[in-house]
Amino acid sequence: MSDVETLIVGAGFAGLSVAHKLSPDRTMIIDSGMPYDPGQALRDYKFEAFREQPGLLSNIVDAEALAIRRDPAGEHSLPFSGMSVNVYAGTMGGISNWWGGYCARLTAETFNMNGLISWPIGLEDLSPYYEHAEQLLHVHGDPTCDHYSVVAPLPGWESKESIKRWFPAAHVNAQAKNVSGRALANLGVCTGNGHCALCANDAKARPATVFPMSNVIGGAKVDYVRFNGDRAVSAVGRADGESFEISFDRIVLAAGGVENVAVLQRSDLPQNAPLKRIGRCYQDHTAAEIAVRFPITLPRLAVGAEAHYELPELSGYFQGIEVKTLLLTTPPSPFVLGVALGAEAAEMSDENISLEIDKIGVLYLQMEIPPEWDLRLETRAGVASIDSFHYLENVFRLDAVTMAIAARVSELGLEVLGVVPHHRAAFGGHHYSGTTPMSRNENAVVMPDHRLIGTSNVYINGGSVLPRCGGSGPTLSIVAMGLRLGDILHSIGS
Amino acid sequence: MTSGHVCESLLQEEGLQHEKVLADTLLDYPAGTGWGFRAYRMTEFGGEAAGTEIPLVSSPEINERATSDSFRQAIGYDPERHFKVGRDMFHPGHGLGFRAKLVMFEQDRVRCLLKAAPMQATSTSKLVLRLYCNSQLLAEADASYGTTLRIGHVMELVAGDHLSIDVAIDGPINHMLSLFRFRMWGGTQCPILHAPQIEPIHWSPDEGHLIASPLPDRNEIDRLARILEGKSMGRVPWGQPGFFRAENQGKRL
Repeated sequence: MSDVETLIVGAGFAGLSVAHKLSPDRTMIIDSGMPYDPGQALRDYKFEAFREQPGLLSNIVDAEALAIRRDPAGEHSLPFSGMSVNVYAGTMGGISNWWGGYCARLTAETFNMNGLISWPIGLEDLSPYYEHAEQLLHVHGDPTCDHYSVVAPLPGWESKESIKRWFPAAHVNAQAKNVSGRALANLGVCTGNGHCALCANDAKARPATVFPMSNVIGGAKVDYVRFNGDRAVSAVGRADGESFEISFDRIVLAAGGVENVAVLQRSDLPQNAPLKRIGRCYQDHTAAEIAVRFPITLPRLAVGAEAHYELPELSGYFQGIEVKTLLLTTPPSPFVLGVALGAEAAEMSDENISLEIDKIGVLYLQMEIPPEWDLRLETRAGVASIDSFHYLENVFRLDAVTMAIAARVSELGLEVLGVVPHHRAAFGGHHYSGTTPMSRNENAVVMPDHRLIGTSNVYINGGSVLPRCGGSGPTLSIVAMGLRLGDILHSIGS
Repeated sequence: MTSGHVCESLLQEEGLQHEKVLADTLLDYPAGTGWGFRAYRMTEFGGEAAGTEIPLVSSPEINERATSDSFRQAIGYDPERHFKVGRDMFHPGHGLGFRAKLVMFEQDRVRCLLKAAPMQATSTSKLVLRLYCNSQLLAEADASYGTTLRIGHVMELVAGDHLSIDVAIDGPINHMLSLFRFRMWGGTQCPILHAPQIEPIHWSPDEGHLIASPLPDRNEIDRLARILEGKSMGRVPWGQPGFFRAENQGKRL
């Protein structure tokens, strides 16, 4: 007799979306972290962490990283390699707690792409689950809809008319807001600071504000899964310094693109499990910014990602790399402005610079690190190593993509003022994906039903099962895939 | 270790296996240290590193950490199977994507394998990688855009030897530097590398490629920041009474 029918490891979007379709009486969710409170994190940052380690907190981004990485047990962190700017989150729900709420489906091109690994299901298969996920996250799935939000008209939709001359298909982003009862007092008011992990208003949707968390056990870290033949029988781990072992009929690993790999690499997998393919094809995003002079005064809507315009005319696949290009509605940073104005700035009066600022738009290019680069993720010995060398060997391709988009901007009659190539310095959008992928070819790690190959009752969900993420952030797809897996498990029954 | 460096540690033989990294541990150094992106980000935000060259400091602590038992255990070093522990260095921020590997640990002797991937030059560039030891040219290799330069020359150095690598670029480059110099010392010292700031680049539609440009002057950045702060940017009235009207809830679905 098992302790539980379904054990879900991880209380982020990946795990809770699966649980959403299962009976809570027969499902146990465990997570290594404890609940995360952005408001408390902000207070900690101001009054404790900064005082203790002033040298490390050179800016608020570091504070966010410190807050989200905080791990009450202090023993779970897997440090990343230097070139990755990702953070290993030690809080309940993991890195799902730190995102800008940008919610978009993967494109049809991404689903159809043939590559080292490729989607075994189509967009049409996932569409019903995308719709459900969009309802849960309070966003609208149709970018051509002017309002594009289920809560209220998004702030940029009227002013996008001003850029239609160059970008007729432009639309504002859908953003998942926190409209849960917990945030009822302010309905998740976004003040546009852009530091969502330390938002006192808790404005963005997080796992805890989208899904009920009543049956989640925090502070329980799974070390490995024990097998009997091809069947997993129990999860072994630690909680409050004590070891535990939980038996189950089936297990869902939903601990994130890093920890899913770590748990599997620590487990003595059955002989037919594809151990050597686990951790391959790591995917993520990197970015560049292009400063462009418009002949009009641009709308400024300082509300963070929520009001940025997505530009289909400058998005899509370039040499096998998908890019999502946004026209930011926040003003340029002083650095980008300096790049845009160049040496001429010194000769300009403050008044003239102020007028120039009104016309300078920043294009933000979110660029895919495709599976074909085959970055490797290793998690042994307490270290999460993301292969930087394969990134460096291919990073010149991102220059080519940037150049292609800059050329397209020029063709539209707009003046490109400068490029800030963030992709040369680092990568990482906390979108660690593709490391235990499903695929329609022999490189799959899980079957299309999320079952780990070579096992009979181990299922995986999260960014790690996405064979290709394209230029979109993965969260909406993770939730949709989780709902789909929930249906699959529900239909199988016990 | 200084800002602008990314220092990874390897234990595998050249090209055989993946990397093992302990970078985050290295990041926990006191104020004034860090890594390239942090420095870059500080630059972007007008921080203290803006417009200045990052100081070059050797770090005995890192070297000590790299040779300690706990470090070896952390990266999975197995003395029965691996007779060398390597150190991998690259500085992604400078735009050349240059990488070199120093394989060490034979008492006070050093064996060195070098590899460079200067992938940031343009398609019309020619690149030459030259390896020197104590100013003596040991090896030279040519490559073109996007290819990886490898100097397969394996040498043995004694502590105190001065190893240097020049990457000469003939032709248009994205980066303003025409010469990038790596300097390493064998033995127990930490490798030191010249780490220029990442440079913004400009698009040249006439020439069809990205061109480097100097960093904006620090004082100019400060001035631009003040002008930006003084401007009145539109702010959508989130949170104002009535903005989230009840009739809008769920309307679109």
